[in-house]
Amino acid sequence: MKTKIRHLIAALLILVFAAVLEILVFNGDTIGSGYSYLRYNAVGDDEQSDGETLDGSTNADDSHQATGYHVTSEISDKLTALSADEANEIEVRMDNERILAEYRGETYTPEYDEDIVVGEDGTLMRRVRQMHIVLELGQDYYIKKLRLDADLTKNGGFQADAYHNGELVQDGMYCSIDPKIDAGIMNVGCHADKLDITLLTEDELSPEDVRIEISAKFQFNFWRAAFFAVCLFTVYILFFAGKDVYAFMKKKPEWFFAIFTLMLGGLIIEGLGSNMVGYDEYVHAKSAYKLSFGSTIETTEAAMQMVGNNLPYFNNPEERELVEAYEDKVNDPDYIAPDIGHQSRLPRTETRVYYPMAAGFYLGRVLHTGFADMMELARLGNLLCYIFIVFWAVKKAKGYQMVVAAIGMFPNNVFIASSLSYDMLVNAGLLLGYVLLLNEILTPDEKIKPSNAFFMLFSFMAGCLSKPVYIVMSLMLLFLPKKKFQNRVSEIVFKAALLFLNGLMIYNIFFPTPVAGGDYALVSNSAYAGDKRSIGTSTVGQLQFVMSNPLQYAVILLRSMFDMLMDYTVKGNPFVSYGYMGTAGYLTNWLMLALGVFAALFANVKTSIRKGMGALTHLMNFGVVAIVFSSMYISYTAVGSSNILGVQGRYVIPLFLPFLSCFMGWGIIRAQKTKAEERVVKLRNRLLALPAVYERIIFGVMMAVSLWMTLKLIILTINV
Amino acid sequence: MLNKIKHFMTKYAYIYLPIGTLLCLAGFIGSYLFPNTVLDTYKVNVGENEGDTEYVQYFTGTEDEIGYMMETDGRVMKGIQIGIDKNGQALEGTSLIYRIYKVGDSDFGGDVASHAELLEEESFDLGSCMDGQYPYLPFINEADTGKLYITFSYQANGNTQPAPGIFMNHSDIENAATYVSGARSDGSIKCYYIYSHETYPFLYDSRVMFCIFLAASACVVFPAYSRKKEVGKSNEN
Repeated sequence: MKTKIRHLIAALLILVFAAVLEILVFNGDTIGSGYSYLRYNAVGDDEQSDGETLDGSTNADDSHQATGYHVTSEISDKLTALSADEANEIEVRMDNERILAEYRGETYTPEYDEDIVVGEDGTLMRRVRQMHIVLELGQDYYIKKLRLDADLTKNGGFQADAYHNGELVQDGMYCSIDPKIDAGIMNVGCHADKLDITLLTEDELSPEDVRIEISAKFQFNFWRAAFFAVCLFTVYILFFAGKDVYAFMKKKPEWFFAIFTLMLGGLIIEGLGSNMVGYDEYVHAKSAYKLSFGSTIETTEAAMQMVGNNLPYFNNPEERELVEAYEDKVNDPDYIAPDIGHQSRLPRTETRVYYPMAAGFYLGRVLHTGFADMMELARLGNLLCYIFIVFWAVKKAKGYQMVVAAIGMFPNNVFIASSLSYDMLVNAGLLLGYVLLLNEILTPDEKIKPSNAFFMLFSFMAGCLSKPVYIVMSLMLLFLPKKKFQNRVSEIVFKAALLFLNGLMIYNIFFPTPVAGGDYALVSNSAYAGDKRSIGTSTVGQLQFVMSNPLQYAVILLRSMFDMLMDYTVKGNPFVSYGYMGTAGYLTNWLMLALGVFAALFANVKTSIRKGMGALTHLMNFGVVAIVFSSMYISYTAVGSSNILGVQGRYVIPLFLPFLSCFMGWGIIRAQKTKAEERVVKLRNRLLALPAVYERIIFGVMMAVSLWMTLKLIILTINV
Repeated sequence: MLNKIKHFMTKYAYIYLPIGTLLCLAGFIGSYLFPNTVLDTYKVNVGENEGDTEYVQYFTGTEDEIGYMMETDGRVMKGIQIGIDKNGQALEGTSLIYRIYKVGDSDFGGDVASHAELLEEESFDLGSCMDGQYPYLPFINEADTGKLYITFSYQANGNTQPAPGIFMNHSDIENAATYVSGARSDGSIKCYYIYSHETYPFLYDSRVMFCIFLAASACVVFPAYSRKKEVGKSNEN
C-alpha cells in the first residue's frame, strides 16, 4: 500500500514538474513581453488606408493592428540555382517520362517548367521575384515569432534580419512559404526595433498582398509537457522506483521495453504529426491507405497529396495548426470530391505487411478524426504491432532479454516503427525469428519443439515478406546438430522444407506471382524492371553486366561493403538516426556498439555459442550484407556503375542480434579462463546479484539517447 | 485456461500440423489449377499531342463503317474502349455493331473486311452509356489475337435520331490504322485496349506456409514412433 501511494505521489509530482518545465523552458521568454501579437501591412505608409487590418477588411477588431510603424518595399527579379535534391527530382521525373514514352512507342522531348532556366554550364536555375521590405517597428519589441502571409500559387520563402538600436542582432533567418497555407512562421527570439525582410516568390506579388505579424504569445504545449513527463518518469523508474520494481524489471524486462518504447514512439508520432520524414513514407502510405478500404477506394484530395508526398510541412506549432486545418479542408469530400478507384478484394501477399497501418487509417475514418490524427493512428498501429512482436522476442530470449530489448529500443528501430513503413515488420519479425533460432543454438541438447519451429519460420517469413533477401538468415538452421531432431528423417525433412522455403522466397524476387492491375505488362516486363527513383536502372542490363564481369563486380562489392563499414566506424558517419529528421552524432555509433557488447557479454545465458557456430554466424552476416548490396546494385544502381547506390545503414539492423550473439556467455564454459574472461565472469556474477543494475544501465542509456534525439531533432526543430 | 490450450496444442500437434501441411499443399496445387482472371486496361490513344485537337467522326448512315486495324502483340484481346458521341441524343434502342476480323499478312487496304476471316460480331446498346463515355466493348473469341481488323457501325432499330459518332484525333499509333468508309483516314480512333491475365491470389501464401507446416511437422513426435522407441528401449534393457 505504501509503495502504491509513493508511486501515485511520484506520478502527480512528475505531471506538475513537467508542466512547470514546459512553462519555464519554452514560454519563459514571453512572460513580461508586454504584448501578444501585432500585425503590419507591407504597403508603404503613404499608400495605407486608415484602420486596415490583416485580412484587408476595415473597422474590424483592430486591437492587434500595429500603428506608428514605417514600411518601405521594392521588387526585383533574380535567378537562383536549384538545390541538388530539386535538380535530381526533375532529372528522375524526366527519365521516367522518357521510359514511359519509349514503352508507348512515342518520341520523347524533354520539357522544363516555364520558370526553370538551364544555365550555360547545364545548371538548372529558377527565375524568382524578390520583394525587399524594411519594417521599422517604431519601438523595441521582444519578437518570438515572425509570420508572413502572402497569397502564393507556387512555393516561396522569406529571409529576415533583425536590428536593435541600429545593430544587427539576428541575420540570415529563412522560412519557406507553402502556397497551400499561404503563410510562413519563423522563430526569432530577440529584441528588435527594425526588420529587414526579403520575400522570394515565383508569383507576381505586390506589397498589398503581403501581411506581417510579430508575436510573443504564451502557448502551453501539451506534447512538450509530455516529453518532460517521460524524462522525469524515466529518471524515477531508473533511480527511485524501489526494490519491488527492480525485481520485476529483472524478471520481466519485456514490460519495461513495452512501456518505454510506447512512450518514445508516442512522442515521435505526436511530435511529427503529418510531416512525412521517414524513409519513403509516402510510398508506404499509398499502399496502407488503399489496403484500409475494401474493393472500392475513396481517395480524398488530402490522401492524394499524402501519397504524392505533396502535403505541406510544418516547422513549428503555429504552422502545424495551419497545415492541419488545410488537410482537414481538402480531406472533406464535400469540399473536393474524392477519387473513386477499385482494387482486387484479395491483396497481394507482399501488401499484407501494411495491415497494422491500414487498421489505423480505417479507425481514423470510422472515428471521423482529423486527417493528421488519422495518419498518427496509422503510425500508432505500426508501433503497437512492433511492440507486440518485440515484446515476445524479449520474453522468449533465454537469458539475453536485455540484448533483445536494447535492439528493440534502438532509436532507428523505434523511429521506423513510428513511421509509415513496412520495415517495422522486417525488423520485428526477423528479431523474433532469430531469437527463437538462437534459443535452439544455445540449447544443442534439447529437441526442437514443433511450436518453436513453426513460430520461428513464420516470423522469418513475415519479416521477409517485403524484403525476401533476409530469409537467408534462417539458413543457420541447416547447421543445427542431428540431436536436435527426432531422427534422421525428421532432420532431412526439416532442412529440405527450410531450403524449399528459402528457394521460393528468393525465386519470387525474380519471378513474382502475377498481380491484378493495368500496369501488369509494365511491372512484369523484366526489360523495364529497376527502381524508378534512380536514373539508368535496368535489372536485366545490370545482371548481364555482373555475369560478364564477375571479378570486376566482386571488387565493386567488397570495396562498397568495406567503405560502408569504415564510414560508420572510423570516418565519422552517424548511424543512429530519426530518418530525414537527422542523426544523433557519430560518437553515438560507438556508444550503441559498446552498450550492445556490454549487454551481450553480461547476459545471463547458461552457455555460449560454439566456435564453429560463431564463425558460421559471421559468415551468414557477411553473406546477407553482400546480398543486400547486390540487390541494390541490380535494382537501384545505373548499369555498370562503379559504386553501389541506395544501401543504407539501417539495412544491417536485422544482423545486430546474430553479431552480438557471438559475445554472449563469453568465457562461461571454459574451464581454463583467460584473465579477461575471468574478469567478465566475475563482473557478470556481481551484476546479476545487484538490483537490476544491468537492466537499468541498458534501459537508461537507450532512453537517454532516444530522449536526447527527440529533444534535438523533433522538439527543437519543429515544435518550438 | 491458457495452459490448457497450450497443453492441447502440444498434445495434438501430430494431428493438426500434418493436416495443415496437406491443406497448404492442396492450396498450392489448387491455386495453379484455378487461377483468377483479371482485365488489364491499356491507354493507347486518349490524349492529344500539342497542336492536335479531338474531333468526332459521325456515321453517315447505318451502312457506314469505321474500321480499325491493329496488332495484339501475341496476347488475346478481351475488348476495346472507344469514345462515343451520342450527338446529344438518348439513342435508346440504337446499337453499336462491332465485328472483329482476323487479317493475314497481306495488306488489303480499305477492302480488308472482304478478305479477312470474321471472328465474331457483337453489339452494344448505345442507350446504356452516357454521351462522351468510353464504354467497354467486350470480345469473347479466344482467337482474337495477332493482326485484327475491327469495324464499327450502328443499327438504328427504327430510331430517326441523328447518327452517333466516335472520338478521334490525329495521333500516330504504332501498328494501327483507322479507316473511314473504306478509305484510310489521317485520324486515329481514341481508344483503350483491354487484355487479361491470370493471377494466383493464394499461391505465394500456400507454398510458403506449406514449407513452414512441413518443417514444423518434421519436429513432431508421432505417438506410434515414440511407442516404438520405448519398446526398443525396454528390449535393450
